[in-house]
Amino acid sequence: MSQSNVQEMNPNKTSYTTYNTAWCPGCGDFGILSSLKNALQDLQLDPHKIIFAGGIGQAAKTPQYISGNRFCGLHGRSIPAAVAAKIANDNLTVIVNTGDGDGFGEGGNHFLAAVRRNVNITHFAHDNQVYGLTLGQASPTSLHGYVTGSQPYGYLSIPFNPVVTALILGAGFVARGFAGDQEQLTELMKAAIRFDGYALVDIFQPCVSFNKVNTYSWYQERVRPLGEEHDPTDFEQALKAALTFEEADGAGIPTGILYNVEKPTYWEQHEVLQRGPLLKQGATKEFIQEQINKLA
Amino acid sequence: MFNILLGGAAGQGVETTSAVIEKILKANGYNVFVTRDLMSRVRGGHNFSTLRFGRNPVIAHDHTVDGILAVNQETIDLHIKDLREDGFIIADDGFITDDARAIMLPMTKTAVELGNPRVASSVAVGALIRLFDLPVEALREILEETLKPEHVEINMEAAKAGYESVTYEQGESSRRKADDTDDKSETSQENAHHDYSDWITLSSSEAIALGALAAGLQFYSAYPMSPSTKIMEYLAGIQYEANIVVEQAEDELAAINAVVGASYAGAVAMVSTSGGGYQLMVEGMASAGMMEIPTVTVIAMRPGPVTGLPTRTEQGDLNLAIFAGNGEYPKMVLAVKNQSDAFYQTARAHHIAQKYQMPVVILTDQYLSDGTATVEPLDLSLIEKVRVSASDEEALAYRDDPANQRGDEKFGEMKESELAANEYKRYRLTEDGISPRLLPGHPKAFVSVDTDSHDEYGFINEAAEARIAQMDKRMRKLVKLIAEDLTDAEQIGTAGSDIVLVAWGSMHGPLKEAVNELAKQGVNVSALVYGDLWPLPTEKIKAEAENAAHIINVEQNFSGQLAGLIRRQTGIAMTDSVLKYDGRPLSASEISGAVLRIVKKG
Repeated sequence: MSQSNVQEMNPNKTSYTTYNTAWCPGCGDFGILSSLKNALQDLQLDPHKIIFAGGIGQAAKTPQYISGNRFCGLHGRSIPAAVAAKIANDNLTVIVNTGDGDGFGEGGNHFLAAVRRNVNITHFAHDNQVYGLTLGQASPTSLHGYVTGSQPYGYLSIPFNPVVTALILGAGFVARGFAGDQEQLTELMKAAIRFDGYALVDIFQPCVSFNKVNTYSWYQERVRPLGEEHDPTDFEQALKAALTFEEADGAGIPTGILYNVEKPTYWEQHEVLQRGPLLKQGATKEFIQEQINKLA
Repeated sequence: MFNILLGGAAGQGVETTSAVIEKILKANGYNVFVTRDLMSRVRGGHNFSTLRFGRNPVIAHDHTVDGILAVNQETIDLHIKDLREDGFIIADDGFITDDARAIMLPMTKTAVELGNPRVASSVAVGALIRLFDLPVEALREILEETLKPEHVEINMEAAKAGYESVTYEQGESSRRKADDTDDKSETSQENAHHDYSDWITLSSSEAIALGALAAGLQFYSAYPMSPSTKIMEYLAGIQYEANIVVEQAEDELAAINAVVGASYAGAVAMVSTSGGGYQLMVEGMASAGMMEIPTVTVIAMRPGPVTGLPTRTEQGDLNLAIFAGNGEYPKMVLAVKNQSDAFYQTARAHHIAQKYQMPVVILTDQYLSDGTATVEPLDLSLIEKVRVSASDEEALAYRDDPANQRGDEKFGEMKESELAANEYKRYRLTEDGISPRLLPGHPKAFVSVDTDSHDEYGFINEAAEARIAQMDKRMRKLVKLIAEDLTDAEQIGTAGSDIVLVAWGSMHGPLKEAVNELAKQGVNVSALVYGDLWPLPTEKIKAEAENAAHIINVEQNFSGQLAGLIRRQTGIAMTDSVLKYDGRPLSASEISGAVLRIVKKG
């Protein structure tokens, strides 16, 4: 990175550095990035001990705009890489930023596997219900009937619901946030990062350039932060909230921590990882010799 | 040398019986080479093994057999045409044959009397033990190693019944043939009656797993696909003692990307698949090339395209391994020549991957992966563990520093200017193209990698200058690789021959035998067998091409992929080809026969 890429820093605001971005002015991604920096600062995490992993897409560029170790891999494939990086070195915090297309379309199978594998990574899904980088096609979370250049007669598929999917696959931490509510989002992110196991925060993020339906005001009219009465350890309540995705005049869309129950992690169940970071391990010469001798 | 064919339906225990015979032959000092011909089904069909053994190292299979052990009727029907005139058939007396060479035994009847029809094949094993004068009591120990405890005694009883049903005299000519006592040639006399019982039985699957462990393997991921799955199963079975993690991925894309991610974080990582799975890994491989992350990918080849012949052998994925991937990136492709070579080459592949920070592909095939050979015990003293951060002591020190725990350095105490200063040039432009590698978690550096075109820091950069500089830097690594680490083809026979055979990988054994066979017939032939294939070493082929009247490629594929590669890289065209693509391994006699036909033709 050249120095010219670093903007004037605000000395009053500690942050994970500010970099020039390629996002459109007004993009929901700014709210997510800002909340992420606040969350990390609140948690007092050293950026040297964080891997920010991303694939391809506007959301996936997040690692480029924050200080830390950055793995900017392939479209849809950042999750398996992130999971394995965490398995390799448990001393590091691993945070994955995907979009809805990257995380649930191209990387759908990896998303399902990551939930079930329960490796301790944090997944922030920037969910704008549209493809931004490729200039406005339907994404897995686009609403039924949504009209785009490649779906001129409306999107015919049933919208993908990430939080319901994560819950029914057994995810321990599932939350829904909104880029327009940074205060809530920061807290959701902190809880997700602290959670021991795979944690998903599905974040509504208006795309000001390509999604003229799901705008700031569209979300603002619908999001309903969950109140005290919601018990995040109650699976049925969680599922009910996850399934609620209604019009402004109805129940709206509940946001907040839908579910938060720790489950046995991959790390806890694998004897080798219990002994310490994997990158300090490997077979001893004596052990390999024994295996060779067994072939005699 | 003696060649036995053991055949039966899937589910009749042919695999286990084959392993038992292999062990008892080896325990008696024989060197054994086993090939497995399987159908892609769990029950029924027809499976067979050939066990070729002798008092000298056996380096290849053969189609002509000296003895047949028939556990089903099909074994007789299908293979009797391959039986030598003085050979024998051991078969159940319920099978139908009027062949005078058949020794019909009450295999099924004995097994049923003993209480389990599945032990019929042990009756044949017992007969074989008598014919070759092997110690029948040694069988007990082998059965104990191979079978569940409750099955040992009944199989011993069955074997004893078989032992009693033939005579020592019936085996006389077979023993002579196995011991090479008819062969008066110098080489066989020299090594005659060497005892191989202290050597090891090895497939390339185990060899690759052990070679990777010796190099320091820590993370292994794969999606099951024949014939590569045995590597995963072997490593998975020992992972807790070997201190590694073996994770079966949700698909091949996940497997390669997991390996790339683990390696980025600093683990020594490997993935394996077959050609079909590698198609799905192509993008992940290119990402390792672009991001400069060391990876080792094993392709255990089987006949394609797509599903092809799932349980059989081919060398059809050379082009795939070398050329698949969008754009251009540096990588190395090598093929293993035999089971033992697979061990040393895998360790070498890991060293090269780490040294050059790039992907390395290892090619093996079903012939070597399912087949086993008796080889000298692997020499661990020849292998060092890889260094993960090749050029920075600090990175290694980090790995062992207990102070490096999450959260012990507080972000708030750091000034922002210092953070920016921590941007480290992961892709620093260097003369040899290799940039000093640090690992994520380094207290003074952010390690950034990117599949986008990037600058020295690993940030997206679309400028033409950065593009050219980074592209040149990556490709320069191959210049160094060619100068320092590339091994030219192995020469078999005398250089400068009139007839030169050219082959790669597992054709090594059959070809070596073919060259010897042809020499005995007075035809002087030399061979070049390639291990390293990309970048392609070209010196020897250029030298050989100058004098040879016939340059013949010998490959197990349809189009002669090595021939095409040589032509592409050197302009040298083969004069003739010996190609086989039916999924069955090419044998020395097939090669020598084909060469003789070509030479006669002029």
